[in-house]
Amino acid sequence: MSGQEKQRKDGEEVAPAGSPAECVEKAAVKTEGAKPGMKYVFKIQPADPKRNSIDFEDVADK
Amino acid sequence: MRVALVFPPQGHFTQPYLSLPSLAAFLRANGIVDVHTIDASIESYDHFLSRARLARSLERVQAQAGLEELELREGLDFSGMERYQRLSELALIGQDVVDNIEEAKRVLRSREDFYDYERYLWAGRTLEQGLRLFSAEFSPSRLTAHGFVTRYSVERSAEIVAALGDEKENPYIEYFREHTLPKLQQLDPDLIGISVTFPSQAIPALTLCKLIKAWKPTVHITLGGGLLAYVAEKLSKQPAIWGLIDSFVMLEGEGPLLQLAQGIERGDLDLSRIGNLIYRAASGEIAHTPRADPLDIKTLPTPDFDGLPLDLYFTPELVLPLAATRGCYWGKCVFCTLYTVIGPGYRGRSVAQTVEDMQKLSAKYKTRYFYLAIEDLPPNMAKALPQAILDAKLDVAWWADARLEHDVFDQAVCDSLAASGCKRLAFGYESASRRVLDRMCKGIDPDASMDLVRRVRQAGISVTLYAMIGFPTETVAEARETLSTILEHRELIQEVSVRVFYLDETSEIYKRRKEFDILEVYPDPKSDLQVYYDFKPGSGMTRREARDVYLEFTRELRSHFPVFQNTNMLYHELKSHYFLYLAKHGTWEALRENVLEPTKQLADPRSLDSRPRASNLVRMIELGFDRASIDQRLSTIDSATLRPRYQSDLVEDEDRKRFDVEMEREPREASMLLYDTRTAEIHCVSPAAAQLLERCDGVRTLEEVIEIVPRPVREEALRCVGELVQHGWIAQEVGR
Repeated sequence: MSGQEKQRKDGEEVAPAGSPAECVEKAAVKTEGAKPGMKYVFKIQPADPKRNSIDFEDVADK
Repeated sequence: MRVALVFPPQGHFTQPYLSLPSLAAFLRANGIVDVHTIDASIESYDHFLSRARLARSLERVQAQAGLEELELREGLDFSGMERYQRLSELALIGQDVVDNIEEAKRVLRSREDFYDYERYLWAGRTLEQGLRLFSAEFSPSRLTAHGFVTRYSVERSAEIVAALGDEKENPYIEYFREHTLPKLQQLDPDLIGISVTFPSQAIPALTLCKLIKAWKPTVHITLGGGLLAYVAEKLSKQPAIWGLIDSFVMLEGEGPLLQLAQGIERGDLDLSRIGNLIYRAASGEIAHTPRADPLDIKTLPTPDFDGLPLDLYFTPELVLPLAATRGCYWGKCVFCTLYTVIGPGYRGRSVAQTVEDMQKLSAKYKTRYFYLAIEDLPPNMAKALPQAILDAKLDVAWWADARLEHDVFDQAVCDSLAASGCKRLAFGYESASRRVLDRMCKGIDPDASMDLVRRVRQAGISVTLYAMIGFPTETVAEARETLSTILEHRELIQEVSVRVFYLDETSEIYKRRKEFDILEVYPDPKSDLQVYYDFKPGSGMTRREARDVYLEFTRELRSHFPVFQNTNMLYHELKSHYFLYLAKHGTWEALRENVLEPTKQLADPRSLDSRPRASNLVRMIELGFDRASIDQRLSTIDSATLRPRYQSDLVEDEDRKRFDVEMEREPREASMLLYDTRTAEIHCVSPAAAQLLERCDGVRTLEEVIEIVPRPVREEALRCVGELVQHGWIAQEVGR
């Protein structure tokens, strides 16, 4: 498991609330605009539950 | 003498059904000329999916207010999650759906735009969203492209009767009162025939009957159609039904309907003299008249589609159904009852008549698209029909079901079928196991099946296979053999239609169930209209295992078959849309290459040393609960796994109450819901991903966009930007 994967698995990186998080180099990070408590999980997925789970049987009947 | 024939909701919206045109043609050919046909199914879809009607739904649902109330909660139980899923979507897209619905219907009916796949997908999604908005008004009832279900079970006559008075959950009360009833009042028919083929039509059909009888108690209403072959006798025992209708027609309807019309016209209607009827006699007793002889279908006229609203169906071309046969020439499969619905015996029209029917319909309705609505293409027709079509110089495209007849479908026959315009053949494959096929009395050799499929493919015809899981005595290993055989040959197969075996009480296997090691059958005492039964198998897989393997099948099919992947839209609109796309592109290979799997360019955000800007075609709302998590949790609940499911996939009230108590509540967790107005897709987006998108303002460089992200997860952030670009949600400003 890479460090990055481990980090995500362990509960995600948390952004600083006013001060930089320990794991982030102070000089490299601009905290302006960062949202307090933001979890840096980058996920995009279709929100169309019936589209993905529609029952083949329903379709076959007609 | 005026007759009105009605096809009640809900049937599929992509083409007309054959019942009304067949009956109307027969009546007209036999002297009853004043016949009017009403497809209330497509008319109601068209109305429900109209700007004005959806605006009414949006107003009534009050999605924003409902969502705000849920957002105040600390956690969501099962019912809360279901509601949250529904309302969060509608709060985001409700107004767009209202605004776009007319355009979506126009696209599906347009010869130009329908075949533009991106426009097609946008329109199809908008339509489905429209149905979800409409359904939300009548929750938990649900109307989709494929079904109509309510909390009222169509296996229980008392519940059906109760549904007829529930205006909050039965949308057809209001619809019929405002639309179909006034139309019937204007016609003022002497006889009304209502065709009920699917369980989804039961409640709407009887809702209409109730309104008609309240208006004009003296009009004779007769109910016929495929569903009644299964349930009419049982339904006739429910006393309330006889205040709604006057007779049931069993099996094929032409003869009884004509006699009813003639009797009413003469003024001496005597129901006891008409075959295939169930009615209530003056004494109050339920009477069954003797079976009438099956019709010789060679004597029937060509179906007459006049009077149907042919421009309302959601397709750019009219796809007309045509029955060249009735019944099944094989008729031995022990699980099947379909071929008995139309009456005993197998009957066929001649090849010449079939070609003549196609010629007449093609010329009259200006279409070249046909669906042979038959159980299976008989060998003589498979061999002779193509040449007859070619001889007649008919330019048609058509599809049909067929049996895996290894001796019939040689390469020459397959090639001639393709040359005649056959675009798709759907075969009853059922299983890869010889033992299981033999027990089914299927009469096919599994070793030869894939060779046949290869020949059909070689000819350029699209192949669909029907498969069945959980046939009594079938083991899990045998079912998996079916799946692995299909996957192994997936290059030859375009679609698979899979279902779990149901024990139908009118089937041969039910009568001989001991031979199939069925130990016990569990009828539900409350379900007086029950046709399918749960049972305990003595060997092979359990019912639960059958459902699990079925779900495994569907997951695998979605992973491996292009038609089922991504949006799956063509599959969902199966009835005609996939066929029309096939016909347009000529072959499956062309369709796959041009439409389903066009080469996609992978986005590498690092190559953009520009200033990315979020598309203004994307809109987001902030949510207090994680929609992705809610979607995932709700999708794991399968109503058919909870209890035997036959006519509805809604979760039963009893199960819902249990889930509300037992399921862990969904905790608060922020998320974003995104609507892409260009594609009509909706996505769950994590707040971090949404933040990246928001920072793409056309001023910041990519470096500046992600600088806010802690260094250890910047690679992830970059990958996410790539995904945002891929979705088309980020444009670039080059050279600034």
